[in-house]
Amino acid sequence: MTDVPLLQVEDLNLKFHLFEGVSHVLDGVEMQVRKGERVALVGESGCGKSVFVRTVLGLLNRRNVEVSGEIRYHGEDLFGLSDGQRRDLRGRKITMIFQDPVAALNPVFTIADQMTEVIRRGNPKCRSAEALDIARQALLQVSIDEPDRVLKSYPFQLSGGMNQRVIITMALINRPELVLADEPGTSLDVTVQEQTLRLMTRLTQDAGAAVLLIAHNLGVVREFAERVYVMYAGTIVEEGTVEEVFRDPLHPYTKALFAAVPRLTGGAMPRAIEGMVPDYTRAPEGCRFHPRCPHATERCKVPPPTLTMGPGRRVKCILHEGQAVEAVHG
Amino acid sequence: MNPAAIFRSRGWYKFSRNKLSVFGLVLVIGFVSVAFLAPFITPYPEHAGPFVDFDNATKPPSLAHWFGTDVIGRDILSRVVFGYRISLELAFIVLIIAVPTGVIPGLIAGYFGGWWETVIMRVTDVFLSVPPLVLALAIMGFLEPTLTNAMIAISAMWWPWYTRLLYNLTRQLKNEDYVTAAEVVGAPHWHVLLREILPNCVPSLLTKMTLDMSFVILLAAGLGFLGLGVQPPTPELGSMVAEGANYLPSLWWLPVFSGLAILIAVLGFNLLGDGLRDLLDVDI
Amino acid sequence: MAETLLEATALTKDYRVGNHVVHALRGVDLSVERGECMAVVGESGSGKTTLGNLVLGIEPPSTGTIRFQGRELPAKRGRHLRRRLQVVQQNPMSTLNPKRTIFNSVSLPLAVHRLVPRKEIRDRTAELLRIVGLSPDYMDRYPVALSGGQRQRVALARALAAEPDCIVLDEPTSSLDVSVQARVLELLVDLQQRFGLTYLFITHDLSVVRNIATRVMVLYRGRVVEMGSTESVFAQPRHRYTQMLLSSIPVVSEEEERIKPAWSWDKELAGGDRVSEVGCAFFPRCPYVLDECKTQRPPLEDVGSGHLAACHNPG
Repeated sequence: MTDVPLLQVEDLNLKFHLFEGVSHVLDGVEMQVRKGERVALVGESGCGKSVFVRTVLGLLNRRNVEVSGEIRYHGEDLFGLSDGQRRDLRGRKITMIFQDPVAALNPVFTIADQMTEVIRRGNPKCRSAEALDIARQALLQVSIDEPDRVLKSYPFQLSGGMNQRVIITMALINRPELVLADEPGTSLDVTVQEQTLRLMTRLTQDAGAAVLLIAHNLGVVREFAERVYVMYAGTIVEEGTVEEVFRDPLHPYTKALFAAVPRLTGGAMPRAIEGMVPDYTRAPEGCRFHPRCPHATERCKVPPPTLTMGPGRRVKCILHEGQAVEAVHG
Repeated sequence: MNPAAIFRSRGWYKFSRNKLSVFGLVLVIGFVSVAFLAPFITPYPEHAGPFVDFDNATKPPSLAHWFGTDVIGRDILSRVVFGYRISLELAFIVLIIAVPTGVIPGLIAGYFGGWWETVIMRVTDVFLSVPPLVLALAIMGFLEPTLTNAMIAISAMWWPWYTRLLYNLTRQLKNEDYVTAAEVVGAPHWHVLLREILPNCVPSLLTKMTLDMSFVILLAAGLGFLGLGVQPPTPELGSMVAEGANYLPSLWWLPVFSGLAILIAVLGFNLLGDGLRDLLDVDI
Repeated sequence: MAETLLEATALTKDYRVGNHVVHALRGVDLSVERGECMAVVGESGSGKTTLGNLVLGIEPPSTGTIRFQGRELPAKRGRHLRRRLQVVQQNPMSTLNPKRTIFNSVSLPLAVHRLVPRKEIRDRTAELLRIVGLSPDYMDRYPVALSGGQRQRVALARALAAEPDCIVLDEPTSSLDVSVQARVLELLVDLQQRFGLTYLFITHDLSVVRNIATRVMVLYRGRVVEMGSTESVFAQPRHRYTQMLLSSIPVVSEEEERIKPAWSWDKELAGGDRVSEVGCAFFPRCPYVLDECKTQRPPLEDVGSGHLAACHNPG
């Protein structure tokens, strides 16, 4: 285990300057991903996780955006990099797996063209024939029996599941250090999604890559990740190992989220969470969840402290102050 | 709703980002107001009618006559302003006739398909295959050249463009979820066509109508230039250009100002139309 | 007394795509009793959406009949018949006309079927919105002002407005966040009890089925492969595809993990691309395949007290 985490995000704040006002979308986000780790960032739509990923990748359109905080990769500040350097990093050390296989592949090029292009970006000296061979091997690795047929095809000729395999393969082929996976398999059938997850687990382990999985499905998090960050309205409200958080969720939002999941065992009906996600141009004072929280008190109108309950186990809520090892305010 | 609120709306915010579109809007508002107020703001409103003053004929632009006078002594500025009026009236009326005439068959052909589609679209295709000016000329050949007849001729050949537009839009929109939902509810056909589908065609319609204004003005000017359509002494921009063209280059003010007027009208509507197309995010 | 509200016999639906024919449904029988929630489960290509469309009369079946309260439904349905069977569609972002206000959308059935006098339409619409948990203040707003969950509730209000006997729900919560989904499911259960509604619930999500449905029907490639009461099918899924479906659900607890059937995922190679036209459509993916599976299509048979399965080697 190296000392410096692969990805370190500190106090990331992001505001959009919109017609309606200033939208404070990310509020003090902190996160770490270490080498080879599988980390999940879970939250519902509108919580800011997609914006967060795009910020990390430097894909955000700079015009109306105000960003502060630090994102460090191998200790190096990402914001200080030029566009060219960031692009280089993106292609080789950090790759992304998109949610929608159809959107991620270029419809006018064959799979072979797209895969060889990626391979050669990672190794410019590689010749076409060699690159094609590497691609073929990679496809065999993901249990595609007829790699030549797939290579000759265009994305629209293949099924969603097949395209997803190709994308995962492409993302891992240059042995990146970090893979950002944005809810892959959401648009696929559940049986295909299960295979996709298993595949991703195996491949990333083989490649020794760390994965940051952006998810909305807690079940997927449990199957795939080792550690989890729970995000609500632009803040990380809870973090810990998947085992810790699933066994004993601490933050009221995390608890409510679990209560809302329909159970295979039947029993109690899934329970809704009262209220709605806040308007980021007029976010609630203090804890952003307090208007919807059954345990809310007057004290919640002040920004909640980040409590450390144990190594790597943190929660942003006053409820567990008594048992906290450390409390950081503001 | 308070009209000033428009300027605070999101739509204006987006629209105003494009300076050219705003310029187009300004131009259009400009000449529409000018045309509207023609009798009150022109120095010599009577020159737009039967008026003759040979003593003052072919005088170059001066303080008394900003655009000069024409061959029979009429103030060109006043005639140009009234010419705007005529062109805008014509374009407006043509659209009022052509649009509903074209929209209804397009809705029907697109929604019901089958026999309706075949008949309506074949007829439309015939009209669309002939170049606009040629068709207008052909129709005018049968009619006496008057303003009214020019309007009739242009309307008669303009409606199929709207049929084609609505046909394409309706074919796409009829598969939308909310249309299916209305059908499942049991809504009658007229409701589905006019209340569910048509309102979603409005952005495209509005954009096309704005761009068409400039085409129609140009077409009318074309007819006027060829001596069809409006007859003297009514001022029509195209015929004014035709009359004055003979006297180039010495009496340049005779055709130039009317020509410029046409240009400004066409430019204004085109820029405004482009701006609308971007604002409403439409595929015309 | 259980009344059969909706009944379909030997439904097939074929589509012509370019040069060949796609058999979306290949002989499906369906029966739904008044007051129950019948779930139709399947993945893409199963034909579940097509089944919904046929029941709703959006498309006519290629062969087969559909009966509502015993009477056969004609190809073109009149207003009165339409009123009894309403729909809640999958995508909340496209189910409401963006150019019409919430009031317009919800009151449409009231106007079409003349259910209340003109002057009471507004009040009744407000009431309907309250029933689904939305403030009547939203009546004059446009859909763009509402979130996905709210729009879905508007769609529900619209369906209720017609005072239907049965509502076909086509993946009504699939595109919603889990907490929003919970709200909509609570509402659906509440409304069913309050108004004696019957639901045909089309979905791919078995966890939702477990919590809301009385009976469940599993479709695979246009055919019914398993059907029975929710308890029975979940306690003992007989068809291998049902077992595969259940075992692919990502669950959040150990408890749920334990009740999932075991499944050898290694056999799953190129995925669901392998389909067989001869014998059982599922056999290329099945770890329990027997010789007869490749040649003879398994009939849908009773495997115990009304629980049906179409498998030569059921679990």
